[in-house]
Amino acid sequence: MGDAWPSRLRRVFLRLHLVLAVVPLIYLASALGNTSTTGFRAERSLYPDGSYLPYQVRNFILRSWPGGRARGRVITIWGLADDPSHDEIEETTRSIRLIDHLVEESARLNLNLQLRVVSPLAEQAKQWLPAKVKVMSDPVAALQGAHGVMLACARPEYLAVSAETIAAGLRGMFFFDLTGKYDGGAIDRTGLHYMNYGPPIGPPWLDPELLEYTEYLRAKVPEGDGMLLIPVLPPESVAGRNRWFLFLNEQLLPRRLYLWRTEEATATSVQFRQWALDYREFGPWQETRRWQPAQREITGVRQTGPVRTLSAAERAAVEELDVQWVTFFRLNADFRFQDWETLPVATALAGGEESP
Amino acid sequence: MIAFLAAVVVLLLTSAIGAALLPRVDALLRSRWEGFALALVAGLALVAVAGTALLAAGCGFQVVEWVFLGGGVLALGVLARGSARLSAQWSGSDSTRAIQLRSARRGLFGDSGLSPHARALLLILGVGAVLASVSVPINFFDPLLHFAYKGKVLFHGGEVIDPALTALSKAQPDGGNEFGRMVTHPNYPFGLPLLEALCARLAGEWDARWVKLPLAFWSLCLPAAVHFGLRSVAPRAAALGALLTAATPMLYARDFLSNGYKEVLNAGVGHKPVLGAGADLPVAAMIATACALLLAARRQSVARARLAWIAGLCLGGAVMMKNEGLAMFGVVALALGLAGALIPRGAQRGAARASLLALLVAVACVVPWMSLRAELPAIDENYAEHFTPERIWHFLSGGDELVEKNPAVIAGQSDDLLANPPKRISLLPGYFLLEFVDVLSWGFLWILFFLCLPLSRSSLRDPDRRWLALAVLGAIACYFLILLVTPWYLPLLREKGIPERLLLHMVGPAAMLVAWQLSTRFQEDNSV
Repeated sequence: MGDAWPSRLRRVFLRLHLVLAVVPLIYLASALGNTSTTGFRAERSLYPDGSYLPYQVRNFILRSWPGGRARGRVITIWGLADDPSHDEIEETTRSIRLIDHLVEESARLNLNLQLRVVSPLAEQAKQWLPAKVKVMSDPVAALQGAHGVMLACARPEYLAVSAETIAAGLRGMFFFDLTGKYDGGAIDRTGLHYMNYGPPIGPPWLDPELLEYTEYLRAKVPEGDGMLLIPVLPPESVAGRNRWFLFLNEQLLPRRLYLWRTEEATATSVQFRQWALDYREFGPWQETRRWQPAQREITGVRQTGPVRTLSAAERAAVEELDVQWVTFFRLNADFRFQDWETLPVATALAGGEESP
Repeated sequence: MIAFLAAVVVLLLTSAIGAALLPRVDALLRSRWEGFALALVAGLALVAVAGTALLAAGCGFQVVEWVFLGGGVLALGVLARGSARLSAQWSGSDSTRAIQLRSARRGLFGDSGLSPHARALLLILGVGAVLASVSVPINFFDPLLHFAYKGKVLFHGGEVIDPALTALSKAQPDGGNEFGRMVTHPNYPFGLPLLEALCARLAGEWDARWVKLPLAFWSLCLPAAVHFGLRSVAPRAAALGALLTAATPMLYARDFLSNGYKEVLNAGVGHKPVLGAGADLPVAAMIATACALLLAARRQSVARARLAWIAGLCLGGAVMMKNEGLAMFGVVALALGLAGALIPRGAQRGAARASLLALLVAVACVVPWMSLRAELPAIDENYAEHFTPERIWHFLSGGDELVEKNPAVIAGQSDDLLANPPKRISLLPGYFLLEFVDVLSWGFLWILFFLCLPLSRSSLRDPDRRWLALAVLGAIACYFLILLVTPWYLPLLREKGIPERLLLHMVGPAAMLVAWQLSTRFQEDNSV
């Protein structure tokens, strides 16, 4: 008897182990089923949506107009539900909390923000919406005269409004995307600022604008050419996932991409954070000035180009490394065309002083 | 289409190379399923080892490509000749051997003691794993940046000592140039990049889906290798070992369903990959095949030397897949030594010689890579530097976790953690224990392994069970020590699937030991 129970126990665990073969079976069936929906391509639609933190988004939005310039701004909000398939709304729904945060902050700082809400659930939500919030029914009409539009729910009728229509309707320059579902590149091309404050969907290398910018560079920069990557300012995001330069480097081979202190920049996320701190301390932008290229490609945003003159160390690197191109960039949590500018080295060296 | 065809050619030639290495099937019986698995893993090991050696010798990748193509064609010729001889010798014969041979070659699974249901399960899981591996182009961080990037460097005609892999830059106190090329983990071995680059070179283009076709078969091969290894023990042990291995969820995905059924909706692209051009599964397959071949070489005298040196080749192959492969090679060597399996005396003389031969071949395979590795920069994982008695003792005796490496602390957002760091030794055993009972990743493999340790006098007398057990226990101890001295914030590594991904390396030997012990037990029970 004493010898038998361990043996029985082993048999039980063995049977349980074999029963658990159902886990890989489910996994493999689901994996093949899921990827078949996108034609066996990795796409962001295969990844789960995340959720944003309302108080954080409030801060991001108000910071879009720094120095008190948020005063009197009109923001149109498209959608209220957390999910486009939801037809119910509650006090705890994220967009309701975000509106509360915005209204409270507006009152506290005397900003007089004006909010317009467009949603089929607006009637249902009225009990929780502050009295100052104006409810409208037509998403395009609600754009007229607004300084920014905020996509809070990815309902098809909002996604169907073209970027050109949005740009034509808005008085201001901001498209706040809390869903990550709108075509950021299309917004960028109209000259509006695409501010993706939604949680990242899928891995960074599937970011649609990154992929498009990669294609653009493949067409523009011949194979074998060297590109010097210059952060215009210290990174605004220090999350390891947002090292867009790593993916550009992989995708653009055999072009030669150079960056400052790559040993830290390409290592672990922790080392990358240190790299960002070191770059802040190094501060090469302090001895340079920003300038505006005569013409920008791919992006429609003109006024806030990421371009600056080169520091002495950067000029020396241009000479030493045999580079033909300089890519200026600002490292943000989202890849946006407007943050990246690739110029021939002569143009970058001229720094806007003269036409090369 | 051309990329797919090129990948199929690479796969066929690699299998042919491996098959040409193996002993003739009439000398050493095996089913088509086992034969394919052993041939593919051995072929992949040889291509990785020989390719790395050529690169280390200063040859360009073009030489590797031509040697591969030449070797593949030669192997096809050898196989065709062998096949003709085989049918001339055995067809129509009614000898016992001929009947055994026909039985072994019947269908896919031949003479294996697997039930029809078990065969169907193995087939579905194996083929499903292959399809899932290529269902999307390379889509995970490590496979993309650590391996595919290097593969692209080789594809574009670069050599290993190429600025794209070596020209990292760092702070220059003298004000020198601080701009350099970008590469993650430059000193990771070149096995996977090399195999991907071969597909791309043959196709003339880099196709991120089909370059990984030769790397899609690890989960299919692992159970077959275990089955082959346990043939020399008992048919029942072999069948049980194959099933145990194939049913282990970790061969396909880790922690699947741990956050609920909604994970089904993201299966195949989620953030916990195992299939799909990563390096942990290749290490596991190489180690499993090496152990299986070594076991076969030790337990029977037919083609012993040949099995032994292919086992050594596979051990070398594990080193070419990931740096951890080197640690696992050391662990297997140490286990053989400690188990007394290397002492050539009495009935064990032949077995010990086979083991020594395997280890010598493995050393020969690894030497070129080590010389090459010394020329590559190490950016963040120079564990040799941290593996000192003082550091081990520091953490064993209650040294604080390295909270200063926590991103929140770096960002100044976690003063509490900085003020009250946990002791590392209080975290680490828990991480391992949680893994052993994580049934969604491992099923009950680890629980069974600990329940099946050879502790009885009869099983302890068997050097083969001793070295298998010591290899798995040694790997666990080795990874425990490595994580004890890791220069990183341990909870962050845990989030990235450590030690889970490391334990995967030993899934083959663990399943072999469990199946062996269980089949022995069942026999004992039945005899009672």
